[in-house]
Amino acid sequence: MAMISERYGIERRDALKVIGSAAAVGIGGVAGCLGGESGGGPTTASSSDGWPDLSGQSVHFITVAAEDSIQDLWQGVASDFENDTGASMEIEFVETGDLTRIIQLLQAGDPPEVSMQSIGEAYQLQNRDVLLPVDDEYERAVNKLGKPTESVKQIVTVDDSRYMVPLFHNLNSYTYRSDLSDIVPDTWEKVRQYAREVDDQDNDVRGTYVPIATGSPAAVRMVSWLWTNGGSISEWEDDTIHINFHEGENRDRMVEMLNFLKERQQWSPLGEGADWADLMNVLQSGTAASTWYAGARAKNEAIRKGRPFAKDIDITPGMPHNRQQVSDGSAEGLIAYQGADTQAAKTFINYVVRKSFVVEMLTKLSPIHNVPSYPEIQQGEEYRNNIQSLDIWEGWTEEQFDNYQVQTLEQLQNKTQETSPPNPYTSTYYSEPIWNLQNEVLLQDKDPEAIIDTHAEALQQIVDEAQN
Amino acid sequence: MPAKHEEVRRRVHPYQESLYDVLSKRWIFVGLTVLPAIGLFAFINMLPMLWALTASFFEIGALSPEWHWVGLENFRIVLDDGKFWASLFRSTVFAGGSVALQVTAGTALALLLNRDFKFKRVVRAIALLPYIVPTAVLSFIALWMGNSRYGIVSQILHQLGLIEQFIPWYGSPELAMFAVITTSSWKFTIFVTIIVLARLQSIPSSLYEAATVSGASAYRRFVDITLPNLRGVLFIVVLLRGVWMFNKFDIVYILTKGGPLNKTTIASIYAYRMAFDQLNLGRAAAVSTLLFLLLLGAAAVYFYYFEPSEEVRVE
Amino acid sequence: MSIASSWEDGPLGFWYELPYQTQKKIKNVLLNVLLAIVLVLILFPIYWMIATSLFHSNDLFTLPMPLFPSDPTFVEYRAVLETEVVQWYTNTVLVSAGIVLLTTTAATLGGYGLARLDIPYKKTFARVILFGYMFPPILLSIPMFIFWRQLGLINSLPGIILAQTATTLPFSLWLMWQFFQTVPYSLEESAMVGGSSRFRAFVDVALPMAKPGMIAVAIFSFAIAWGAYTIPSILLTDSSKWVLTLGLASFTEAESVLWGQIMAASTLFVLPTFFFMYYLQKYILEGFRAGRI
Repeated sequence: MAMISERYGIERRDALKVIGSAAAVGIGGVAGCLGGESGGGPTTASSSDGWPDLSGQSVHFITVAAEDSIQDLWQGVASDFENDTGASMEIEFVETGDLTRIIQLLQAGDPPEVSMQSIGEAYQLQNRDVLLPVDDEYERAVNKLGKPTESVKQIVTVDDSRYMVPLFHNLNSYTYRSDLSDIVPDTWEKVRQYAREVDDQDNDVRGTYVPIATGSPAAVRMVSWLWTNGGSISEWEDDTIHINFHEGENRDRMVEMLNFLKERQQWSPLGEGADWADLMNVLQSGTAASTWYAGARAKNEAIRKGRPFAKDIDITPGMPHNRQQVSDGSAEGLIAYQGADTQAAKTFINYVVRKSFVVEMLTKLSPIHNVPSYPEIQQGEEYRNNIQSLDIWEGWTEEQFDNYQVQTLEQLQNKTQETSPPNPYTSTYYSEPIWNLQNEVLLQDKDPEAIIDTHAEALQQIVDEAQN
Repeated sequence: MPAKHEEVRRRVHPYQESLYDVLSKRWIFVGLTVLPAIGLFAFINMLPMLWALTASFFEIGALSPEWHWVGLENFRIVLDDGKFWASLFRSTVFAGGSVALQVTAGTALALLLNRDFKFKRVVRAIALLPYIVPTAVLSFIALWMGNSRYGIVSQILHQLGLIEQFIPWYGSPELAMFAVITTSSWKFTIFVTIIVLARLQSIPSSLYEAATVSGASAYRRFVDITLPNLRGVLFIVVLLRGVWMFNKFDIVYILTKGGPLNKTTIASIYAYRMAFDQLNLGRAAAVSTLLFLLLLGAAAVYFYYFEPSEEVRVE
Repeated sequence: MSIASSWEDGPLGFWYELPYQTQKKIKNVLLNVLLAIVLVLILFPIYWMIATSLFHSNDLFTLPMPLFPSDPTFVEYRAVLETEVVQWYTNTVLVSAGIVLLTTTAATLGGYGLARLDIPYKKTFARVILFGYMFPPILLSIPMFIFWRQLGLINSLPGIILAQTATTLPFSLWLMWQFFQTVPYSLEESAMVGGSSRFRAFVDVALPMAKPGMIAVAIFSFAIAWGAYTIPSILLTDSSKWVLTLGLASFTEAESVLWGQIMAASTLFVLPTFFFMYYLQKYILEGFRAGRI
């Protein structure tokens, strides 16, 4: 028992050691990459080694990076960038992925050059005309990292301009213990059967988990399950986004989905006050046997904690479906800002978006859980070797890994992609009405039919505000 | 005294003495004493406040630095919003409940500590400790102890047979408000304890002795001696704690994010969402301004009716 | 039993037959029991913080959790010490010291001036001071960030000291103003009659007598400075400039929370303050005692 937590401590230390060498590797990596760069690069004024001379310019880069190893990785690439271009780098690690710091900087009239943001946030910024198109940078990324999937290709494209270079995704799927039942819960009906069967067994493990949350877990859950039931939340009505989950067939789909959540509560441990951490821990702690999760953390956590059933935790390819096979997932990537040092910003994006760096980042930043946006990276030897040398790989099988990273990625549809063109207001409308609608059903036993209109109206009002 | 004073005086260097004379000139002295405080106050307190007050008359998108004058429009919209009034009501419940709990528990604890018992110094150090435990630390401990499935509080109550199921302290619509009030009061009650205990110690014991000799019961001594002496501190403690709890944001947001079912969406969380989720800074500023005016009005009434010095003069 | 009283005839009637000394003793024991219960309520969260920091990480999120770390491990402390925690600790101490110094100085001088000098509108000002707390602080982060950035005070310890003083100054100034009103002016007057300059009288006579008030102000501002989070999170963006509270929050990685490390860091954060309360309680109580409040 002690060994596992020792290992956890060591992992951190090992990571620090690795960084020492990573800095060296980083420089080598850049050198290796330069040959290609100077050939296909733009014809701007270049210094001798292929990168433009950015002396006197500065790059302010903001990213979420709590782990030391990730911070060191970014610091390493930043100092390489300074050496190669003469620009000065200011890296800022924020603790949450929201827009708080960006808002402060924009209000101060001093936007950063580049930041790593989710697709929803990128749309929020683009709606206010703050972002810089990065079409060229995206093209180069595709040249270097390979073709992305159809879904990834559309990410943050507005009026034929592209505003984000995507890097990775967390994919919604269903995580379950295969040692307790032979049922594979890949449809709603089987989710029910699985939950009932496991819950009836003579042990403390509950069949499934229905979290009751305020905030993002509730919003992400709603989209994930609703779509697999063929429902939708919004549509374009001329030039405006119209909430439609309470209309026509959608209404039935939504009501059915809410009742499905409600029904599963009988096989679930207490769901109140849940946060992402509760979802992540519900399997490893032996509390429940199956849960929906936005990614692979529920399994990874069981492996880290050395649970004997960790290897038996399987992941369904995509979400369990009822009418439609589709998986909502996040998308994170790099965006650049207007009114900042635009040349430096674009150069920095080009500089970091290269195979060696992206692979290294995705090996360190929640590995396996974060899925590369580019299948070539993900199927490449470099990434696979890195992943397979991780401690957590012990708990994974090739099949489980493919179920999550390959098959689920193929079903990816981001919450913005419900409509075509994508709905740019999803971040704003992921708010109170969405989680209160579910919670009134789950906490207060309210009839979905009776409350659906009120919440739809409230949500429409919020979207209208955002569209003005 | 004068002799000693002379002695001190002789040790001072003549230049220092003339420097002192210069510093004593009326306006220089005023500048030296009051000006730094006023200047600081104006810069670090008033200036950001003025920014926010001004902002409440403009439409300001959080993602662009442009301001558009809209007059009282923000106020009109906010005052029209039922959710604002609901959040205001919750703020009142939160502040009222917190102040009631903190002032009674804090005073009671101070009375308990103001006696003779063994290990007095250690016991007092322990009792006063929560006030200095950072809110961030307290929030983490509370989330950890109150977790709906792994929380040690539920576990112990369960093991003692007092509850059948784990209690989701911060996730239950019925309990969440009570839980956040109790959690934050664990720390802030001690502010009351410190101030009341300090005051209790300054009440001359001769007063109590005289009362005891003349046959006053413990209850009478409390009502006739202790309470009147505490009046002044309780006045200021209720005011300060009331203001601080009314504007509290961090600990409530960390513990519940305003949920479940908005049961703990107090006005500060409503304003926060307005600014950082709905990205409407002008309207969030209007909410802040309204809360400010409300507190100002409440404080004025409070001062008018309860300020002790005024009453002393009347009597 | 000759005195007719409903209380004494009741089930607790025996109480009044006990000798006064015995009554007093029993009361005292009961009050001590009550105090002990309160102490348990205060100590348990602190105990659980320490216990969690010593558990092996796979004992966490299990049911039932052991109540005592029977096989304590210091792995979490080692992990914490590998971060920049020493730097954060140093910064926290420096920032707290700066805030205490700035607040105490400004509040003492200001409080004296307001109490003693004939300045127009001083009474109004003295009352307005506490209004400084009445504006909800949520939104003030934006103007503060803008102003401090223009002044180049982002990521600077003096910058954070200045900003955080906004939360300590109003009450401190108000307290010192009250305090000086209780210090008799006659002593300073007699010093001035004896030939002292006004400033001398302030330094030699008034200041020594104001000491308890200054200590109270220092302690109040320390308690706020030590745990400051919101303002530092806005103004300190470089992790080498962080204070401990920010470091603490960084032990939450994405959606997971490293409870062991958080609790280990919290323990390192909280324990020294116990000694602060132990050794300084005399001054704390003396300081807040004074003043007209």
